[in-house]
Amino acid sequence: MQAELKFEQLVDEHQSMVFSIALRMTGDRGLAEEIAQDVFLELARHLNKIVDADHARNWLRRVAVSRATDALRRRRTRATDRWVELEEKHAVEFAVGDSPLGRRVEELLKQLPEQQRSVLILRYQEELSAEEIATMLGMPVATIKSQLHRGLKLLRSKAQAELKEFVRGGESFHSVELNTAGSTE
Amino acid sequence: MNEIEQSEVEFEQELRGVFARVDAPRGLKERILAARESSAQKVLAIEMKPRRVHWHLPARIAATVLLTAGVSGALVEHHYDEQRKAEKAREQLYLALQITHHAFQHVQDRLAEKGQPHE
Repeated sequence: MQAELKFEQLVDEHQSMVFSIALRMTGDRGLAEEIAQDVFLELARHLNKIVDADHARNWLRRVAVSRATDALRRRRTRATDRWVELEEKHAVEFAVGDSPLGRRVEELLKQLPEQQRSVLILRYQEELSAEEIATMLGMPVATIKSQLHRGLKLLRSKAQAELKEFVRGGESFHSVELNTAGSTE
Repeated sequence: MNEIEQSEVEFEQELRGVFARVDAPRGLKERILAARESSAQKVLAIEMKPRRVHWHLPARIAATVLLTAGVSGALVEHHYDEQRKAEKAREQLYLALQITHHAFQHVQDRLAEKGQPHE
C-alpha cells in the first residue's frame, strides 16, 4: 500500500517532466506519451531501489532521455516505411510553445543530433549544470560543455538566419502592402 | 560584458522561456496507473498458473531407455550365443582329437603286438 501511494505520488509529481523530455526529444506527442508510460512502468519495477525524492527525479530524467533516444533510433531504422514518413510529417506539425520563436526553436531542436538535443533539454528545461548533466549521462564534463556550446551555437545561428529571413519576408510584404495602398490612393 | 556576450545571455534567457515544461496530457497518470495494474495482474497470473506437466519429454526418455536396454540385451544375448557356439565347437574338436588319438593308439598297439616296427 505504501509503495502504491509512493508510486502514484511520483507519477503525479514528475509526469510533466518526463513527458516534456520525451516530447522535446522526439517531437511527437503520441510517442512521447508512450515513452512516459514506459518510463513510469520501469520505475514501478525498480521502486524498491529508489532511495529518496532526488534519486527518483534523476532516475526518471536519465531513463526518459535514454528511452526517447532508443525510440528515435528505432524510428530511424524503419524510416523507409511510408507510413512512418507520414507519421513523422504529421509530428512536425506539432509545436510545444505558443510563441513563433518557441515553435521555431522546437523545429530547430529536431535538426540537432540526439545527444546535443538531450544536453540542451537537460540544461534549459531541467536547469541542470554541465556537471550534473555529465554525472547523469555518465560522460566527461568537458564533453557536455562542448556539446552545450556547439548546440547553442548551431541553434543560435539557425535561429538568426531564420529571423533574418523572416524580417526580409516581412519587409517585402510590408512594401508590397504600402505600394498597393499608394496606388489605390 | 560586451555586445556578443550580452546577446548570448539574452538568447539563453529566451531559451529558458521556450524550454519550459509542458503539461502532461490529460489522463496520462490514470493510464500509467492502469497499465501498471494490468502488468501486475499479468505477472500474478503467470505466477499463479499451475505448472503444466509436459509428458512428452519423460515419455521420450522412457522410450529411449527401453529401446537402448532392448538393443543392448539383444546384443549381449547374441554375444553369449556366439560364445556358447564357440565353446561347443571347441568341445567337439577336442572330442574328435581324442577319438583320433585313441584310434591311432589302438593301431600302434596292434602293430606292436604283431612285432612289426612302427614307422
